[in-house]
Amino acid sequence: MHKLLVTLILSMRIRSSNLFKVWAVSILILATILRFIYLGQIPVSLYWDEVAQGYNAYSLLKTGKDEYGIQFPFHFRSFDDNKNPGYIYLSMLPVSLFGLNEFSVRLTSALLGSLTVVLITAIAFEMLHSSSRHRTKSRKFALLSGLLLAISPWHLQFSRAAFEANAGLFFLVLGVWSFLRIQKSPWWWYVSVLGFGTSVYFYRSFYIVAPLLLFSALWLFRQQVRKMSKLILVSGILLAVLISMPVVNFSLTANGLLREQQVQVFDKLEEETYASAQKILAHNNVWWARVIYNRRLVVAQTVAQNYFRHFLPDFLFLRGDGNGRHSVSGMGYLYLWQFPFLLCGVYWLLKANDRWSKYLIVWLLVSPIPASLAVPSPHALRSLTMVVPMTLIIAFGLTQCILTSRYILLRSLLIATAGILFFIYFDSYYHKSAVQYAQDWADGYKQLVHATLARQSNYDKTLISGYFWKPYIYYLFYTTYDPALFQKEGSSRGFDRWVFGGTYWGHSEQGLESVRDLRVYAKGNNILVALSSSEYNIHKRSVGKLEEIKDRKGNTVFITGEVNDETIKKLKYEEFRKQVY
Amino acid sequence: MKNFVNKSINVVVGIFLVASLLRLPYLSTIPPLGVAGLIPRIITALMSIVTIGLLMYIVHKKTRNLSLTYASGLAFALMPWHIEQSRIVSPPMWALLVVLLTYSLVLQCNKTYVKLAITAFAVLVLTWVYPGILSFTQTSRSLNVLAHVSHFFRLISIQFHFFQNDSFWKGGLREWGVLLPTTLPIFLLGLFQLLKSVKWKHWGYGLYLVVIWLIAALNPLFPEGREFFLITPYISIIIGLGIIKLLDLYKYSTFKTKALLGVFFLFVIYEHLIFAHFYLSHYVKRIQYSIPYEERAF
Repeated sequence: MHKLLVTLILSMRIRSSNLFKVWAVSILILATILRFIYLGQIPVSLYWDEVAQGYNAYSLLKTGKDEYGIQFPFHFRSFDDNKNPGYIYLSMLPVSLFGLNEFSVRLTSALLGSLTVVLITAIAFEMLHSSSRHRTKSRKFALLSGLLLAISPWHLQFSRAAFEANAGLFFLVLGVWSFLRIQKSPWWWYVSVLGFGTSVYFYRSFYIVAPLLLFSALWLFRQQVRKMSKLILVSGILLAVLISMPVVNFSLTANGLLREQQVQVFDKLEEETYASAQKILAHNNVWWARVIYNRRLVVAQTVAQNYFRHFLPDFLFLRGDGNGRHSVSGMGYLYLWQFPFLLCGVYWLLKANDRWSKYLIVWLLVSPIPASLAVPSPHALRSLTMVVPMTLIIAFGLTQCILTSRYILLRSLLIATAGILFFIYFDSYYHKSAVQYAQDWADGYKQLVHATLARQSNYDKTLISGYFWKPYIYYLFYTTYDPALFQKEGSSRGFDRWVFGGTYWGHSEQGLESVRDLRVYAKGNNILVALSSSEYNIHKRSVGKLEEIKDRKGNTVFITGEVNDETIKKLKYEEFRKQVY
Repeated sequence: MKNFVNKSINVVVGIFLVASLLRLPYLSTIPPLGVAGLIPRIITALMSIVTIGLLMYIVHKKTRNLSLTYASGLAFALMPWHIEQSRIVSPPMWALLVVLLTYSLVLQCNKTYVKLAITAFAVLVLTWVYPGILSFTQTSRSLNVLAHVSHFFRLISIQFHFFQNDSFWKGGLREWGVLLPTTLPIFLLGLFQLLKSVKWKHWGYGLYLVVIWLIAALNPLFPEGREFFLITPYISIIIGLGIIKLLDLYKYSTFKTKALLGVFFLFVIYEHLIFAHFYLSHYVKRIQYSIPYEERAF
């Protein structure tokens, strides 16, 4: 009888474990489908950074150098924003396999995004499995966490485009998961530091988040850490330092800090700090005025406000950060139905008071720090690491409140609501927002390249407007221009027969609005031009209109035309006729 | 009641003194006097001081915890939102008095029918002194679910509570939050204590909170409505819990932690001084020159 019971229990365990695996695989399949379906078509176009990453990966593949001719760099100069190298190097493989196109550029992000879903399932399982109080719920919690991340608008949004932060998130989560396994084998410690160290190769937010998370893990799980030999511990830390050193080191140089200078909050507060200086002067620079109106307090308060804005329910559930590339229309980053479970999750987490629950809270609190030091704020991409603790907390709230309850009606109601909201999101992402935010995704460039390629054989030069920023990279990408040739002869101002205008706000650039003669600028007599609507209005006396290039929303992005003696004569004649008649 | 006052007369007098000093001086000039005149303003200020006493009484009666009573009272007396509303003719302040007074009376009674009678009478008085509380009933005509959800979220956001109280009633102090930013860690600590100790049998208190939250968020004139002011006693109690925990930490900590906490306390005082300076100096000027704006808004 006893043997029979043991066999029965064992078989049940195996069955239950199999069921767990089946569910986990189903969730992975769902995550993969949601991330790969129409990957090349939606979002509607590659935006500037995606194209730059793709072309630099292609350039590395063909020549071993980036677009500026630098051999296997640790930072890619690109648009003078010194891109982190991780994503570009990882994109080399898909670009070599599938060619230079939208799908291959986004593939890395989609793949790593899908794998992050697996990792969060594993993390959730490890977390609750190690807790004596909640062990029985570990599988449900793990599956729920995976499912919630698989359908998370926040994670999906950044997994379906070449966002470096999303790829970095995978390595960060890998680091955390491996850390939770160091009890099983100390070798996981090396995998963990490898994960944390590699994440900094992808996105700058990780320079702050990764070390903070690693050291908080070391502190909170110090009992397990103490069981490791000191040699392994120290060598692991050294390994992390060694891995991250090349990329972090460059970031601390003047060139490396360029991007930080563009977005950091401290330089954007000139008005406020000037106002506080004025107040101090108005009180004759007395000590108490210097204390009360201290400019450092203005900065501190702004940083604090930026930080807490990332926890605004409006940002999380309703509106997002306002950037069309970061969210879908009419939605935030979490589903509305998750709000009560987020509160429940926080409540139960505080009650649990375990090491892992403390670690989740630390993770949540650390994540918005990089974004609070920059503008604009809140910023969903810079605070992307929040998505993991948020998902885990909501899943924990759900596990505690609903899955353990006997109210079948309540559970059914919740599933129905969640399902409906998911389909609303799904529809919004694939239909409405794809069109509505076409301009944010730089839609129009691909059409422009194809339109000008078809006509340009009849002209000396092709002049392209830089009104919408950096058109050269789209020409390099969609013509798969030989990187070796570009490194030798080309620049962002022109290559081959293409000449590019700048933006009116760019440093040392000239927008075509302020150019008097387009032919002099392009150095050609018979030129094909592509202008923005406002530029065309300025130059319409000399540009013979050929075609309007529209985005998916139907807005005119570019107007192509020709400039030559014959056209100018014709236009003058028509103007004369209009005046006469 | 007698016992409560006798035991700690000095502390209670101290809190009332602080409350009076923050509410009564320069009442005719700060903020500039409106059409209602000085007398109703003085009455509101006195009522606000009474609300502090009532809150302390209720907390003591319910918890028998003197430290929490004092801490909550002090937090209430120093709360920017409460001070601001005390120094103008404020129907929400009258409503708050009615709510606290009713609850104090209910606590004194043993018979259910008396409690119900007091509550019913109080509801009538409440709608008489603060008719704005019924504004939410007019909202259904133009019901926009997402807008109201947004209002809900805004009322519980850290931005609204600690940085920018952008609801703009007459005399509104929009440059500051409902509370000062340095109160945030104390508030979070208090909230943590509350969540740890709260039990399901306390659901009634949560219900009051949810009802006020609903009424405030459904106001068609949001964010001009001030119904959410009625939750300030809760905020004071949470901050009170935070203060007690912080003092406990201070008591049983090492020298380094004590030094850190000391710096934090200094910073809290510093911020209160800045707030006082702003309120007494800049705010008055801003209000004086923003009359056309106020005319448009109200």
